[in-house]
Amino acid sequence: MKATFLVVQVFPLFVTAVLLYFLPHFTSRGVFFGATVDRNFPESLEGKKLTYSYRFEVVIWTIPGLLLAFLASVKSPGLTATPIFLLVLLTAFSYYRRFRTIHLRFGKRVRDIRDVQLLPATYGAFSAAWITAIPFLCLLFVAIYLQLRWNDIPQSFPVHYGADGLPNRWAQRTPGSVFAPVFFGFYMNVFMLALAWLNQHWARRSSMQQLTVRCLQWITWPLSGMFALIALSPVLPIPIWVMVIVVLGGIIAIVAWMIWKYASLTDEEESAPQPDNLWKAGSFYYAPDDPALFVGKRTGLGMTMNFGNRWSWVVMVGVCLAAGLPVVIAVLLSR
Amino acid sequence: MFRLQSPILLDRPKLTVYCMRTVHSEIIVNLRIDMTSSIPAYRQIVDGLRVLLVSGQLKSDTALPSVRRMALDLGVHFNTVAEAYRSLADEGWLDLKHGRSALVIERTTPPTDNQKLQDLAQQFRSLAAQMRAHGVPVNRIRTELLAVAEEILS
Repeated sequence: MKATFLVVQVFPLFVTAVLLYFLPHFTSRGVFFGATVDRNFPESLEGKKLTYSYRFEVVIWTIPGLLLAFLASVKSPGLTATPIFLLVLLTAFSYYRRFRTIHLRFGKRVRDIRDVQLLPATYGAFSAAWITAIPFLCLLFVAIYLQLRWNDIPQSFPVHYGADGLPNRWAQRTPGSVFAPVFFGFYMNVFMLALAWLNQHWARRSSMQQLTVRCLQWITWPLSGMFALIALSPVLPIPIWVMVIVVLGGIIAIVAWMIWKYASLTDEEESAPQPDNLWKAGSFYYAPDDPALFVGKRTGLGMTMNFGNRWSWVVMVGVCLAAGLPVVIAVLLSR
Repeated sequence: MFRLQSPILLDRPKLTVYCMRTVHSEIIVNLRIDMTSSIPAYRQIVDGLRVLLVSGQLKSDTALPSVRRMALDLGVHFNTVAEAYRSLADEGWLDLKHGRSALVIERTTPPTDNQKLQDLAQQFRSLAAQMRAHGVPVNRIRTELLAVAEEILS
């Protein structure tokens, strides 16, 4: 019970709290809490005070989160995500308060200058076909291997494990249950590559956009690795921790690579801050006249959608439906 | 890797419409517009591209980015870019064919029209008057105009 409580409730809450604590660091130069400021402002006395008070509040907000996590674990284990949601919500409020203060008192007016590169005309980040192809080939080989060793697959094999590491759901040897992980692997790869394609072709070009596209391409590797290992588990005894290492290790490595690349961008490579009036609450890009569906995030790594563009909403709904589809299929298959 | 150049404001604001620089011995040519300027985006695109065309930084047979790509990067409506391309095509700088990138073409300079010359001279005077109105000294205006002329001619 204690170990489960720590793993399921406290660890995700702790990781979230740490990320939120360091959130002011993950931002473009010249942007502080989502507001455009002088580049040296975060290091000034006022800037440091604002950072410290924000961090203090994050620590304070973590306490009710922990209490709720404890109550959830005792009373209703289904409420696993609630403490994290509460922490994020309260911290968002703290963040917004800092944004208002900085925007009104220390905000810097900047000109909204846009660039387009005319020459050279070649700038293909999506052209690295081998990054895209290898995960698909890996899953294809796994499918062939399973087909070849069909008779070695047990009639009944585990498909789900509890927090204690023991199997709690079993499946019969049918093409649907054996090849389901391979199918989901293909599906997730296509989903990630569709996101990468959208970011490549319908987003404003920037160094961050190119990094995001690359990361979405690379993320198919650990995902394919995970689904390949799951698919192979009925015929090869693969410990759970190996799968966890493949997925978590891969994702952590990709995110670390992205942070490293982002930190090493020169001033010239990094996009200049845009005026605050394009960013609602300092975080939500709202430009109805801008055809870009995605733009570089103002407060950190990755891309964000243009909330003013109705096509961005169409894409967002499509993404949510596509992301939810495997869950629906998994639930239907498990019945 | 795409190397987008972040905007660096030059000392001379009228020259911020474009920039050219060398990265890894490769010449990178950018078009830059200021969305906070009172000059419409369409006009800035046309003017900026014309500067690059006249100065020879965009040579004939160069393919410009597609309307969609340029509109996405500049954050303006597709029609704004399409209209700018059409305007430059009417001036004889670009060849626009459906389903293909706008192509820079060899342009034969038309004979000087007296009426057109007067119109342009009027615009020149208007610009100089604006600079004076903003408190730019006469000597500085002369230097700026000469620098612009030399930059275009070189």
